[in-house]
Amino acid sequence: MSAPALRAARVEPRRQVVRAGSAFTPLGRRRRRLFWPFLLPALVTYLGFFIAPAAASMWISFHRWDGVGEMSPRGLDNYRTLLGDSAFLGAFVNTMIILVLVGASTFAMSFALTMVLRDMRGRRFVRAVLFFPYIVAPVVLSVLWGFLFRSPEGLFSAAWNALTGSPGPNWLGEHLFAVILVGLIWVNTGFYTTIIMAGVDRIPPDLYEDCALAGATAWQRFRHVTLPLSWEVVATAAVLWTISSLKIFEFIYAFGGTTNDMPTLEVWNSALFVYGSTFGGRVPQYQFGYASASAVVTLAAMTVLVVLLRRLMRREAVQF
Amino acid sequence: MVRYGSRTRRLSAALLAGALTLSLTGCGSSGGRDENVVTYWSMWKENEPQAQVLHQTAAAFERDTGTKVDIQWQGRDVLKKIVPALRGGEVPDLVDQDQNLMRATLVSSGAYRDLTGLYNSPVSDGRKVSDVIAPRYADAVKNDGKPFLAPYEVIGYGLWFDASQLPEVAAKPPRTWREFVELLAHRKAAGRAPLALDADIGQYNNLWTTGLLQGALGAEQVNQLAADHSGEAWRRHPGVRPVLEEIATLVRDGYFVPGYNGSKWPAIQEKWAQGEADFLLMGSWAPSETGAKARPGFQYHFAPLPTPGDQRYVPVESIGFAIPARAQHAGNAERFIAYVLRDEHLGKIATVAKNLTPNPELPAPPELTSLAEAAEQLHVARSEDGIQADYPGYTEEVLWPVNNQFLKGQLDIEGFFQQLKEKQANYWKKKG
Repeated sequence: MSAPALRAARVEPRRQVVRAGSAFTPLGRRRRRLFWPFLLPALVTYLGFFIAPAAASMWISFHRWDGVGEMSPRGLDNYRTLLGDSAFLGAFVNTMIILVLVGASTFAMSFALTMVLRDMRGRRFVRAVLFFPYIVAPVVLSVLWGFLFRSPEGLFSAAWNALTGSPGPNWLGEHLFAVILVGLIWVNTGFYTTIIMAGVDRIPPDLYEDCALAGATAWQRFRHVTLPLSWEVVATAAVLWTISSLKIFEFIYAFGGTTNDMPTLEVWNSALFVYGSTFGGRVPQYQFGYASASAVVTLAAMTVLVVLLRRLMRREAVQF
Repeated sequence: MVRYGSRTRRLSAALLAGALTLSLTGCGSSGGRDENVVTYWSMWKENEPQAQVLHQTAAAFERDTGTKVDIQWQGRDVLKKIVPALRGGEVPDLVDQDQNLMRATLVSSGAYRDLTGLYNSPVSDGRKVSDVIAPRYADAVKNDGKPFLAPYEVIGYGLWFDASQLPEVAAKPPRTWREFVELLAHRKAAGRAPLALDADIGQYNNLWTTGLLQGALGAEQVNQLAADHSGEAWRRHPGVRPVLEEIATLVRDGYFVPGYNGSKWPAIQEKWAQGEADFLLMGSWAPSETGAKARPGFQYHFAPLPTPGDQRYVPVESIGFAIPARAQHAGNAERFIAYVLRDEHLGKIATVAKNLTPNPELPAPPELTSLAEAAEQLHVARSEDGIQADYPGYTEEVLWPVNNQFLKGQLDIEGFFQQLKEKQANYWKKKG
């Protein structure tokens, strides 16, 4: 990799002059007066719809509550029980598997596709096709996947049979969670490919020409140009994924469950556990205190992960 | 810009004032309510046959009594929508659902109206409500001796088959487990798949396990096993293992149709309706749910599930009306229920909605006559031995996940006991 290909990071010098918008100018005063009217609607909405329910969940998590009668305080008992509850721990582990395994695979796939698509003709069209699974309702997709993977007559099982001559694994009966993971990778790859491609598209082509002249391999191009120059985008996408992976619900629900039933316990993630402890199932449990505690634990774990991820992925921004 | 700012403030003040005024008038209008009304949140959707029957009955009720039934077709999640309202919002005067859900929602929170008065009130021709609802159904919907539900439809569970293909079975259904297993072996030897099962549905798998255990141990015994906080009771009870061995034999010997354990509902029940398997263990919705896919000439017939034990039950569950304790027009709601239970209206649950009614005097639809007879002759038990109603979440978190693996042949009996013990102890520790 030739040195000139990378330009030194440039930190913008701070301006010392009084800016036009500073508080002391007439424009600044007017801006200040408009500060609250502009901020207030968003602030009120955010407080009312995000912070208040989160705080309420926190409060409820210290109680036993069926949603109808009075709440009775339980102190930290809900949390103590959670840590020994195999149903919750299983769901939590599944959430982590989705976060790490599906996340890593999705990003690897997205980068691979980005590399392929960069030089491809008709890539806008291909990108749109890749994005397609993301906009189709997860319920529809999971029904489709159910048809693909059922054995022995599902399309996938039939293809397996035709190729290998053996009936193959019982996908839905014995490997349901694995199939769900593959499904989630497939659904999300298009979305993250689009985001990463947007970052990669901004990289000036002359850098790649430089690479070609220097005789860099595809891996070197990726390692020394693509990745560092799209790092900001990747870091943001990673945080996006972490947060959205926590909320995955309908794909698993529709794939593993039916109109009446939750999916089987082995494929629950934290979101399904919260639903199963409150409104889910044939006869709901209505354990709002306990479910809130599980949601708080998951939220706390995710917050820690996002902070760690941000720290881990923090790099000096490369200007180009 | 400044002017815009003050205008924005004025605008938002006006909006706020408007919103306040609206909410105040909203409160005002709910104060003066019409007394000749019943608010009914229904578990049905408007296009379902039961909804049509109830809608027509409501219209007739209004014509006859002047009391309007204000129906909202909420669908199956109706009780989930009521829970928040029970805490302080406006509750409907009348709701309906199956007895399990009603017990877990209105009854467990003490928010139901005792319907003893309704059961003593007249329906028509000098008969009371307690005369038209058979005691075997009415007895199952009481809490501390107080009825909480007025059933208008009954679901029964058992074996369904095509009488045109198995006329000799329809004429003389197997009564003992031995007879049943011989029949299955005979059918299998003839190249048939004897049993259909959508094994991705926990309830369907458990109809086998709990159904057979009910016969071997007696009604309400599985319920007792589930109530054991240590989870050891399953292994300790001498009657459980032999039944599990019978089920394991059915699985091992391939009596279930190929693909039953790797499919997605409703694939297998549709195969059954197409004639690719002989028997389907299911509730009395089987004929209506599979009817559209059934091969021409399919004659739905019911037989109670033979069991390895001495007793045979027909597991049943009722769907019916309940009245929240805080209902504002409970009297009107009770009058409407009594009106629905009149023969001319309740009969349509059989003739139009093609379901069984809790009144044995009314004719059952042709597809369900064999079920109606069985329910009359045999004892009834609660479906899945009432564990869904009594221990919410138990089936999803404990019994089904373990039993699913067992019915799919992925778990042996020892594994069944071990996993059940762990999951059950975990469940009760949580509930403790």
